[in-house]
Amino acid sequence: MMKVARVISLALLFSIIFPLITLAKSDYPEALPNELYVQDFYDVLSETQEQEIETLGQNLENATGAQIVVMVVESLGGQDVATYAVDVMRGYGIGDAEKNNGVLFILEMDPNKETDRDIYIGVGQGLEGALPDGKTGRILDDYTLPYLEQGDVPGAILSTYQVLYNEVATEYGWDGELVVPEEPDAGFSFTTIIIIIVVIYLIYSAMSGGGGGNGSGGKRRRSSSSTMFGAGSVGGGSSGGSSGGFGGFGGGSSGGGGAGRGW
Amino acid sequence: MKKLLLPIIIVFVIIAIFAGIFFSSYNGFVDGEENVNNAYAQVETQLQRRMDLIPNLVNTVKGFAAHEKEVLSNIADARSKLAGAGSPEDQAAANDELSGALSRLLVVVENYPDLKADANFRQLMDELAGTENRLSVARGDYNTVVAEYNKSVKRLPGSIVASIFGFDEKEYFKADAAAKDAPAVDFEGVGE
Repeated sequence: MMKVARVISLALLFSIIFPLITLAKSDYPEALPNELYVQDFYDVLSETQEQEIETLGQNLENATGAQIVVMVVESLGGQDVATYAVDVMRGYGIGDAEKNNGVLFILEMDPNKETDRDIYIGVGQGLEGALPDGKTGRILDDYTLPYLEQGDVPGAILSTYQVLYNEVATEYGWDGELVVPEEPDAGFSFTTIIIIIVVIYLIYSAMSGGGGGNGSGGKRRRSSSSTMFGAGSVGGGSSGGSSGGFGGFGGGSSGGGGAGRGW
Repeated sequence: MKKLLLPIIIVFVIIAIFAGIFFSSYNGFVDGEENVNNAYAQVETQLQRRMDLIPNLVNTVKGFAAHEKEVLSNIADARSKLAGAGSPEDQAAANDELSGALSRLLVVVENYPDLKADANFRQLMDELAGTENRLSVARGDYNTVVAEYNKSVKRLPGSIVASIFGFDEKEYFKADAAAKDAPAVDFEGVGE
């Protein structure tokens, strides 16, 4: 009888512990309270640059419902970046809860490492058709790494964000305001020209009052309260009661798609 | 007649309560089983996807490293074993073997800079790594659902209903701890 009891209690203990093991979650920071598309925990972007990405992200979400988030962290502390990305996408709820159309671009900045800092683009299942892993890897090769190799972290973030923005916009057949990211050449002088162009563009967009959101009616709503709601703000009027989620995110999930590199 | 009414009502209420417990736990098992099957379908999709990628990968590698026959045939063997596996346990074992064969390939690849730089190969490796990751996500989700389901099958009073209708515990999709890490390709020093 004692033996039976012991077996049962062991089995119970196991059944309690096992789910805990499978549920082990990555250790990631809570989303920044007043930010949505830019989760810059290492402060690599200037106000203007953040504003530009926020504007792009907001326009894209208004038009397509998809959310692209860039996350800059100091260190992943050795955690597997792919798992980390899935946990962040599910934890924050990036993308729409039904369509799972979120994209997360993670950049690890670890100042203690010279190489092997992770960059990763995680893609929600709803966008895996537009951004298959092979393409995502190529985006990192062509639009992210060249900038990073020159030490231009903001440039890398901006150009990657723009490419992702275009891909998602094209997927939804929305060609309203495509941006033109320049593919940096391996050569030296060409890249500096591009950087200058980007800087001029930034200055220009800063001077013209923080972005040109002049699409269809009632799109530009930048008061902090309205940015807090993701899905449902297209229809104008009241802020839509998006199903749960966290902060301004839509409650989207991820099935683990995406690709990564080291830099 | 009036005296009988009260006991009859009480009996009915008791029967209704039991029936309620009975039906709700039965329906709970049906839902739970469906969730488990659904989660398992996700795992199988990723396994299939992984198997679909392998021939492409083998062909690409052959173009650069044709004489690495042993590594390539190991991969082909592991793949066909996975294709033939039935139960989650067998599939998990075959999948681990395939992971092992793939990680040996990655060691070999280090000696072929042209292969590492090949756009097609890089794309395949990205797809493969992504599939690995999807597989581990699907596996985690499946195991979570199974744990929930198994608990409900074993717990009273549901366990009585479960045993009557033959709702059994489900198998976990267990992964070898060493094979859990997706094979990483180091593209360092490529394309400069």
